[in-house]
Amino acid sequence: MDPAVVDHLQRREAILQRLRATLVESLDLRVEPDAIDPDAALFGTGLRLDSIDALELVVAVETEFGVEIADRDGASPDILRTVNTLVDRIQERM
Amino acid sequence: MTGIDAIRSSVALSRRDDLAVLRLTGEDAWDLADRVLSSDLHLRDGQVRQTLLLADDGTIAADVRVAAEDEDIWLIVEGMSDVSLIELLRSHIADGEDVSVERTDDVCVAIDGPFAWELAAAWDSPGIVGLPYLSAFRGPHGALGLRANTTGEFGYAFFAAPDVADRIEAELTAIGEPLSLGRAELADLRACALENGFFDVTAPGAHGHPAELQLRWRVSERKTFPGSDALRAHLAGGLERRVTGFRGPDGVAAGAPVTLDGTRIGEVLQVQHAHGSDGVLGLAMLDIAWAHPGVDAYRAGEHAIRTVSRPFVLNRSLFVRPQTHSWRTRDSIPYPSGVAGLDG
Repeated sequence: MDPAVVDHLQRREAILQRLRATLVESLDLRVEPDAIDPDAALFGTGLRLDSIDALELVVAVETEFGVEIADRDGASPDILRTVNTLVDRIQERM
Repeated sequence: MTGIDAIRSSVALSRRDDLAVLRLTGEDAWDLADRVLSSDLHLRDGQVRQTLLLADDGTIAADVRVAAEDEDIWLIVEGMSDVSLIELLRSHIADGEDVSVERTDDVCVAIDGPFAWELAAAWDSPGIVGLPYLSAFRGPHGALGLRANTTGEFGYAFFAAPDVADRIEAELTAIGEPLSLGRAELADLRACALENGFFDVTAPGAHGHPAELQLRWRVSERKTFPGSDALRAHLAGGLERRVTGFRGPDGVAAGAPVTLDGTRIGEVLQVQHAHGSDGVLGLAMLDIAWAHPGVDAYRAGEHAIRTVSRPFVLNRSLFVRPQTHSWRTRDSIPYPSGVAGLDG
């Protein structure tokens, strides 16, 4: 098997687990981290976060992972859509 | 303009008569709904939740939108007939409870699109624009309105008896003409739902386990409901498979095995043409170790595919601000590249 694929999958899984834990802790979600669906929407449905949560989410993720997910104008709407789109951004910048 | 084009760029009207619409009344209406549905129903008046009905084996039986209106509970159900639904609900009413289950013959007239709010405001009132996603309200002609559609764009659904729905449809059609109102069929709505990562209970593989289908957010971890014991037993050993989005070339077919280096790791559940671009997009059920986006080493049948994060599209509605934008000034809205509907 291509080692790059194995590496990608392992990094992806590790980021997903850390992000789930960060979401639960920083936003005080009443859900087990493993129960967060990777493709669950962050806002509206899914985790049902609101605009106040959004700010806390960005700060918590940037602190935990040491990467910027928001630019000067804020996080692009395509980044803060689902847990997986957030993982995409973190993996891209780590 | 196709139905999908209208949904993605202006506004499209659709009409559906395939949904079961039930009203629960009485002091114990909420208790009955909470007992039967899979989510924790923390519903305030005027709120909507997307939830599920599970079969006894923990798999999905029906897709449900539940709305609270005063003390009444509305159930908009897809995937189960109203007869079966009423039978199921009545079997869960305890002796002495004050609740009745009423079937309606309501049909749904909906408008979806980045400028659906403008049509809704012109037809109803400007106040409708301020309603948050997942709201229930009363619209003109006494129709039950839900801001809870599944295209990823602004969407409003109105439920009313067929003759009233005729009037609503006619009025929206007349008012919507200056907005280039299009017509969307059920297939268009389902295609947009898949593009945006919404659940479609009629799709192949949809009657599986909620966790595998990434619908755990619709399932309570605390309460007991039909199918909950079987579902928890299924999860006790850990999740074994998970649905994952992918893109690939034309020719990828539902049911095709997904392989890595010749070893089977899953199966294509659902696939459709990627509107506005080449190839297809779809969902595959993959063994959990491989169920991540960003992998281009898998094959679906003989075709190379790349797993991706959902949703598949960037919606124009994300960039439309009803306070400052309008259909008339649409060309001045600064959309980034990649917004659905701009290239298609």
